[in-house]
Amino acid sequence: MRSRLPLVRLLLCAAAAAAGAPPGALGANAVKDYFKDKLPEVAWSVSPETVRAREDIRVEVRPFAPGEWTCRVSLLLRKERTGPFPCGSRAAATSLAAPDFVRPATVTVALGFCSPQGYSKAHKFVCWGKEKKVRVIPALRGGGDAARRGDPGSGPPRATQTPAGSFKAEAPEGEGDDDGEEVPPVPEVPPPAPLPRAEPQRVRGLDGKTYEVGGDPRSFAGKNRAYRAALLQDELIRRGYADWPRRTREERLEVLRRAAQIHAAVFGTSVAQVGYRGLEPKRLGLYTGDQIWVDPSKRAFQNPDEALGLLTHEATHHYQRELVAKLRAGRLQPGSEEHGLAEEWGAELERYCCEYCEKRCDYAAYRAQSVERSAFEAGEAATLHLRRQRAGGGSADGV
Amino acid sequence: MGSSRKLMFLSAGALILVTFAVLWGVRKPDPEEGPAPAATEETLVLYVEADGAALGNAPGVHVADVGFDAQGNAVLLRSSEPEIARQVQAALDEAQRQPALPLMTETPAVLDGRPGVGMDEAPVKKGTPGYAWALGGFVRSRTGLLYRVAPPAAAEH
Repeated sequence: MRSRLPLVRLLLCAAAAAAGAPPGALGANAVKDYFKDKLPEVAWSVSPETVRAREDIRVEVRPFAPGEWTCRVSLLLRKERTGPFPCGSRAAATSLAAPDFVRPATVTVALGFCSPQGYSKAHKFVCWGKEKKVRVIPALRGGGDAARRGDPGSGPPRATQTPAGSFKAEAPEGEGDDDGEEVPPVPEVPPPAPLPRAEPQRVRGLDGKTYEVGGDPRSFAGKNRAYRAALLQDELIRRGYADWPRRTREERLEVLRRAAQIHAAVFGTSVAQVGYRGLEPKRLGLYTGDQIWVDPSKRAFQNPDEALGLLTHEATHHYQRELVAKLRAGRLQPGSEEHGLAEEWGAELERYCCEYCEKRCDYAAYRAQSVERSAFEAGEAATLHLRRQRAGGGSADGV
Repeated sequence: MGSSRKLMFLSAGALILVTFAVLWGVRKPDPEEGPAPAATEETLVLYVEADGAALGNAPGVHVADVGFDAQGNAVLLRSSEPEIARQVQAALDEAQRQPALPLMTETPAVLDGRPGVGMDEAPVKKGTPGYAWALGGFVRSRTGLLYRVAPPAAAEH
């Protein structure tokens, strides 16, 4: 229950003192016990849970100890604060303007309680507090469709409250840094892209035979072709591509999200959520089952072709997982290509990433996995297709 | 006494120079002999992408093989058509000029308590593990050919 944020507590208490809270003679332990007993009774709310930049975050506190308290609400970011305001005699409310980020972030709203009797320079732990999280979505620059967002899989983001009587945040979070969490987008799945039949092409193999290369548009390879073709037909992606170096991180993220939506539409899956995250130096991205995290500071994301290639790689893993889930639910027709792929991928995903890395990583074993072959092939094909299209068209697949 | 010492130094210097020259001559391949034979176990197998039952487990039509010589240099071993050979060789030449090639790999990771898979990137130099895969990705980025890395026996089909 002990606060881990002495500085914030001090600020809160200093504010309470400035607001007229007289220094008291109550010892630190006694105050701590007193607050510990009282805090579970505190009822307060922060709304909305997701807010646009510069919009107000409203904080309401219902009374629980008339006449004894001074409250202060802090936005633990840029040291912006409200109050102090009296919160002991009646229901009180205040509001803070959400900061303007260049990308979505999470901010912490802290509610501090200070006892008029408790303030003492000799005893620092006279204030106790609670906190909630609020998601802030930046105002879009240059169009886009980032409306209020929610996660269809896990429900909308919720303001979370730490255990009563504790502050969790150690430092301001969210503003422009790479460690803030991303707000998952509301899926806006565009209509499935047409699945074009590949132009037949005659290719002579090393065995001396000539093969006609075309491909079934319903196959895995055919869907990948349709996905690649649909990427640059999308207005949002085309616009983002037009001037990638000058696009903001948020605008680049919108491009990646749109690509994930198109992938989902073509492959018939749920939309993998895409977000930014600061990652280790060598790490470009991370896939955690239904979310794809990318680190925009990495080299690969300075190039739109490579960025979308990586997104495609991870989106392919997402497709693999959902296809295996369909297989296990008995929703795939035996004998179909998808049924065969799901059987192959399902067996691999069960032991994925463990066998080849148990002692020392065996790269060949990693790449030999069917799940990786297909993900690499899809991602590299997307990069190649986009690069060739940007260079002025030409065949996107094969020599 | 002085002249014999000078002679001794000259002889030793000449011997050192001859030794270096012999070593250099042994190391440097004769351009008239063509590319050195592949010396490593790995072979980069290249395909034109295609889906069809006739292709078995292959991802497409097998059109070229690339091996590696003793120094780790990539060598085009064979190709089905001159145009494919030209494009692959151009990609290999370009790769040869790169100090290292990026190699992607994925490892288990945990984020906020949730298990996941992290994708990492690291540069690899020729002659080091993973280089054949990185080269495959590079060749693909230049030619569009799919690739697999296989031991020579597996590349013979």
